[in-house]
Amino acid sequence: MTEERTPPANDDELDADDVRNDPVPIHPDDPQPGEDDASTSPEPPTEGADQ
Amino acid sequence: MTDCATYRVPFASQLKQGGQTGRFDCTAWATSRAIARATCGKKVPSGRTIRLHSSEAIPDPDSPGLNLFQVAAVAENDYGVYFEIFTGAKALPFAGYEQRRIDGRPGVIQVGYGPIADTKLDAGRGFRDNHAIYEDNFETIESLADGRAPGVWKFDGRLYPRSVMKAAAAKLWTGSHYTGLGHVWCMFARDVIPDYRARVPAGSYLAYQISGAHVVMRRTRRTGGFSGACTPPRHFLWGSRTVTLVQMLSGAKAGQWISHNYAMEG
Repeated sequence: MTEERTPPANDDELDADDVRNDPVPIHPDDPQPGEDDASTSPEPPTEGADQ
Repeated sequence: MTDCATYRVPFASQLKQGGQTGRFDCTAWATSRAIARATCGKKVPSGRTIRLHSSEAIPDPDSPGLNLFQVAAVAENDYGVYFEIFTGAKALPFAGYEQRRIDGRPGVIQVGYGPIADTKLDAGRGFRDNHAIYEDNFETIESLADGRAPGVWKFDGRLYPRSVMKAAAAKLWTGSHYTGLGHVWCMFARDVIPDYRARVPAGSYLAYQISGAHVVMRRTRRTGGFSGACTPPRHFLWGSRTVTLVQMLSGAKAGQWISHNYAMEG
């Protein structure tokens, strides 16, 4: 019985579904993002009100 | 109460509304739109909230985006919205993607942006890489399409041409190859969490030991073959690697975590 405590370099079971989006480039004339309320609030902001 | 059959999901801009991680968060924003539709507008989280509640609140500098399993976990744990994920060997043919979308199921599709950038719908300002987009039976919400500069497409409620979306789905880069025409990596919300069963054939298999969201170790085990009920697939980190696993719920192997490749619905 083989025991592995670190992931092997080549293994079909690893990373098989880990496809992530890429960063979008920012241009100098892009609008600045809104204030990041989440960084100062214990509860992250929720967009829109519950209905 | 909002009627879900006619509810239109509001547009949101990942760059204008996304805070400090906005440029990394298209998958989170697309998922936020899908949660809005799945809850008929009762819950409309921001993509920033999805990011902060994910297993990677601070983006990994080497790979700052999110994958579908990460955002689906937030949707289920925080909003009670279950997503069925179709990636890798379980990717959908484009017809299967369309069938679910037309049925009104909120979906997130992973694409390569090039085929969209080559049309008047371009909102990337040179961006052609992996992207995630929300779609349903009414509309395509592409979170870059905010008209922020001349030449940047502005959301107008339309559904993007199916030929463009099919081409974009084929251009998703998996790290070793493009998905190819007819293969759609995506996820769709589902009202009922399906039952899953795993079947492991005779021979050897890998059993993982889990702690929280992380793999601690794994062992190679031998079996004469077994099957039983299991959980839906879940995503785990192992150092800098990731793996998708299910946990056996019945039988002699109950409690063991094994690859989701052994599992299927039903």
